[in-house]
Amino acid sequence: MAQLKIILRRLILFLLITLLIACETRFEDNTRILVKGSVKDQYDLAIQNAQINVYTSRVTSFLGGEQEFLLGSGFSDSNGEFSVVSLFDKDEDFSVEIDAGPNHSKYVYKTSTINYEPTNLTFDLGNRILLELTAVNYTINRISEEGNNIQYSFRFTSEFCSEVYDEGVLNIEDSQCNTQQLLDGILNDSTPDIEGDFYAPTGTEVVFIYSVNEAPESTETFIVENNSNNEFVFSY
Amino acid sequence: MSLYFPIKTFYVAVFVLFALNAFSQSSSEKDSVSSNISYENNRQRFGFFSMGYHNPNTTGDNFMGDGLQGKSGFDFKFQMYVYKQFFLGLYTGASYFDVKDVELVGNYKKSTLNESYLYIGYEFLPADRMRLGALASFYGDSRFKNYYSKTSNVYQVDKGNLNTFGVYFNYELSSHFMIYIDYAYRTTKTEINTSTELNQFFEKGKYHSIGIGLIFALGSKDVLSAFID
Repeated sequence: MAQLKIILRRLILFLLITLLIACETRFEDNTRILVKGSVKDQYDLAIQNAQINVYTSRVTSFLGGEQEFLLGSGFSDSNGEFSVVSLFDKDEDFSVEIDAGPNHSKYVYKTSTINYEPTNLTFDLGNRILLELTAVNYTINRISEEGNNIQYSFRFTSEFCSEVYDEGVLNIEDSQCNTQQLLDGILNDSTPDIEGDFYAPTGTEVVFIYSVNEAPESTETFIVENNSNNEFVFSY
Repeated sequence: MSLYFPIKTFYVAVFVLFALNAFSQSSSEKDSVSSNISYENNRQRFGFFSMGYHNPNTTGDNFMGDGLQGKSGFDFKFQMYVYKQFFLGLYTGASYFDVKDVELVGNYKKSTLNESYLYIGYEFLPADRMRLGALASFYGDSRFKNYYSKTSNVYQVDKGNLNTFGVYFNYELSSHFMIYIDYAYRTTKTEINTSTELNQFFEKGKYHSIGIGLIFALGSKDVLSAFID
């Protein structure tokens, strides 16, 4: 009996040590990378104070949970140029994100660094375009009698650009850059009206597609105007 | 190359020498009764152990000077007098830093620097109870453990070679017990691989260290005398 207790104690100790070792996360020793480039909008104007973040992901728990770690961060200067010093990690989800706030689109550079180290330990992103965004406010009202319903969707250019690189070469198939995005819904007796908003790049087209009482789809289009109230009101 | 082998060798040598010194202690005590030895000879020691606190202050246009801020540190030394006041020693300690600008060094919050080096130097005896020493390291290494957050076990390690120049002032409270204050200028030449644009910034880290501590002196003969006797 006493021997069994000793064996159990040793087993628990071994498991605890294993658990602790498994939870340790260590990034690449003796390494700093440089992430540099510049950021402008679609009108070729420099964007200042865009935040540049360098991320990696790691399994951090014994049960396999994955956590994202910020390895380095910085901001673009008045010329839109940035130069960020970062730690480095061998990871298949290594990424650099550029975020200039809600008025501009976001950019993500993704790559696997498991077997890849950039030349001169520098990720040179070159010039990246963040599209200026404008809020579109929409209102859909029911003015007809009860029982009428509508299926609708807004199709507009996404504010998100994600580029995947394989050893420095753009992988077009896995990249998604400012693709078309859908925002849809159904209004009926339980919710006959709706108000909402979304952001779309200035100067791009928004298509409103709708179908009242399962009738064939109709469309309306409009352009997202710069520095104005983009109010879209529709009644059915 | 790691310091582990030199440290082991040094410790073994110290043990052997200390044993020899202790063995010869009884005969030297007899001699001291019969001979008229000088004041300096009375103050000769085989070596000493010390333990102390130090305050690291980063300096210069480098990753330590611009990116880190010194907080505190502690250290241990073993120093033995090879011949009269010429000495050889081993230093080991740790210094703690906060990161003051993550944009310059990468995203981590604090750093613990483990320092070890072998050193040589000379000690002056300018007045009663006072010892003034100057030293330079000849082999040392440094290891930064950079912690991602204040509490987590997420970290990254930078290694380097450490060079030190320093001076100290000891005050004898008794024949084998002293207090000290010391100053050191340390440079760590790192092994950090980075972009050529950042090489100069990460190539070297520099900091000053001012410390105080206690010393426990050993024996009454230098190492060579212990061998000869």
